[in-house]
Amino acid sequence: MTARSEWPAWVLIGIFATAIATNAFDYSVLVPQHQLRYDMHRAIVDGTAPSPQRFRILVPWLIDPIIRAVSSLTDPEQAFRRVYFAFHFAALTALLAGVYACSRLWFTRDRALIGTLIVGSTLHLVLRMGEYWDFAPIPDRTWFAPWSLLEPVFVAAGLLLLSKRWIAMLAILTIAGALNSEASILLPLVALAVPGQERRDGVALLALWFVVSAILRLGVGGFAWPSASFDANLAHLPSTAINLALFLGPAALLIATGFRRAPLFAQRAFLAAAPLLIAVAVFGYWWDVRLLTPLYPLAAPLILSAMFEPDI
Amino acid sequence: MSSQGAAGSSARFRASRIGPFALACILITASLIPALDYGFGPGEETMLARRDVHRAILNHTARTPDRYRWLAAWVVEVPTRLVSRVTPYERAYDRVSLVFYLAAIVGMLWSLFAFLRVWFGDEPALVAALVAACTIRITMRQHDYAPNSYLEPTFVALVLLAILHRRHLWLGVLIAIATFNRETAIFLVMLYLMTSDWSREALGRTVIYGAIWAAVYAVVRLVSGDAERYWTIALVFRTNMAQPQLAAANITMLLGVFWLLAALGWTRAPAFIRKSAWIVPVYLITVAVWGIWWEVRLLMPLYPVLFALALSYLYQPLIEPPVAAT
Repeated sequence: MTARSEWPAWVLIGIFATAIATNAFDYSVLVPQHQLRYDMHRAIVDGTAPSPQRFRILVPWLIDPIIRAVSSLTDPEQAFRRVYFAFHFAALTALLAGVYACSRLWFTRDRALIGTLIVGSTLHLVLRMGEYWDFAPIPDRTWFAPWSLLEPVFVAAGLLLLSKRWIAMLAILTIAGALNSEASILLPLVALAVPGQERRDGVALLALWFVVSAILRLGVGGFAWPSASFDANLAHLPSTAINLALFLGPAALLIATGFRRAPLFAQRAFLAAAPLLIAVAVFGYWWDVRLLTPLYPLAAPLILSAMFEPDI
Repeated sequence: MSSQGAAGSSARFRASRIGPFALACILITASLIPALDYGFGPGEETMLARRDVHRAILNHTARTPDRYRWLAAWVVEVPTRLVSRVTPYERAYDRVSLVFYLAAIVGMLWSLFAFLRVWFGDEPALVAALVAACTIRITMRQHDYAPNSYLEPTFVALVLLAILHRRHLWLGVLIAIATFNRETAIFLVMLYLMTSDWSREALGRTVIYGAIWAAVYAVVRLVSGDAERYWTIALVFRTNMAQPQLAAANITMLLGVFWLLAALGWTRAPAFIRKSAWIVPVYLITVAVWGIWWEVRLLMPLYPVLFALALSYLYQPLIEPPVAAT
């Protein structure tokens, strides 16, 4: 087998879009409680949402002007649904593109595509909102979580910038990520962990992340420390076990076998997610595996390392 | 491609073999969530309808055409009876069905991979299988009971492999088993004819395979008897006209850009793939007349051919497989 030639960009984008189209449609259209999403969007834009959703402003603030513009053509709720459908489609495509770009750092196009599509085949799990199974639906407040679709995109972009040592760009990305969600702390953590970087750059990025997060919380107001959710988690251990097992399925075994063969950069980047996992364990709902989506671009190169020799 | 080039391709092909453990991990990963989704997703009402149809097939009281689709019902029934010794029958049926769906989807992805790797090697073949896994959920809606649909693409891929490797006996066995699954197994006979050289020998075998299909189908019809016909062609047409936009959306989501890539790959595809692609218009016309358009599970049997065409656009196929069909 040989490739015909380099593929034009539309082929790759088309493959990613094909892989996520059903998920984007279901996540946008087959939602029993649209009103919950609409209300949360409005509350974030108005600054009245509960903490911590109140501080995840990036997507709602960016999209709200578009919704307002489309509202001049149709009713606001329909405009909301249509604009968010476009966003979900674009964000999920970008998610797979991000996983692909990270994998491509060490693997050929076809191998990177395999890693990407493995992630694509499991995406439905993190998007399902309890409308099907009675496996402890995700709490109402998290029905609206557009930031979760961007978290892996930020992580992937951060890895790419780090690999090129474009620290100034990474600083801008860190600011945007901090406006998106708390999971963006992964960006400075990865910068501190991966080899070949100046440690002071990582420290500066971490400080920048804390400053932006603090300004955001002071500026918007209403910050409340999250409470631990051990009781709820202990009550849903079967659901947790099922969802964690399904998150990357048996491909998670390949992470274990691929870790040693993976490039040092990929190993360290994966380990940098440990503090995020601890935070999820303490403050998150364990069965809500959507919280693990930032791991996608970190896990794919490890899975591929179990199957193929990475190009270091 | 020169012979030297082909040899080079073969060397690369062998070098990039994906190990069975990794392949199993990937295919099971890609199948688990769709299987769970299909097994438990539709809700209690659909689950009840499924159990009813399942029982009706076994009792020969189901409506046409379900009454004549024995295979999946019997494959599920035997272990269900065993499991029902320790749990209620309904629960046993649901659980065994889930295992069946998982096995069927894994089998479908594996057979697709096995067929495509002959032409393109492991990596492109796995890419195509994973694309099918990513989009399979669109095939799982707008119907109550269709486990047979998740066996059909496997039969097509295995039949194509049997044709390629000249396993004539296996081909006959596959056609017989596939006829117990769905009457559309007649397309497997057509596939043989279309990919053949139309020699007297090939025509003779086509007659034999056609006779196998006819014999099995006649037995099924005789045993199960005449059934109530709910879906007339007129009703099918009226139903299809009711929501053409849903059909368009589902068809688009089924293969996405791969529809375009398949069309572009026609001129570049190996002769065998091009010959097998003649089944596409014949099959599409059949589905257009007798099928509900938005039930895109009906298009799944085209997976091996359409993905082979699409990959032919993206990759230089191996010059020809080790053996050619006759």
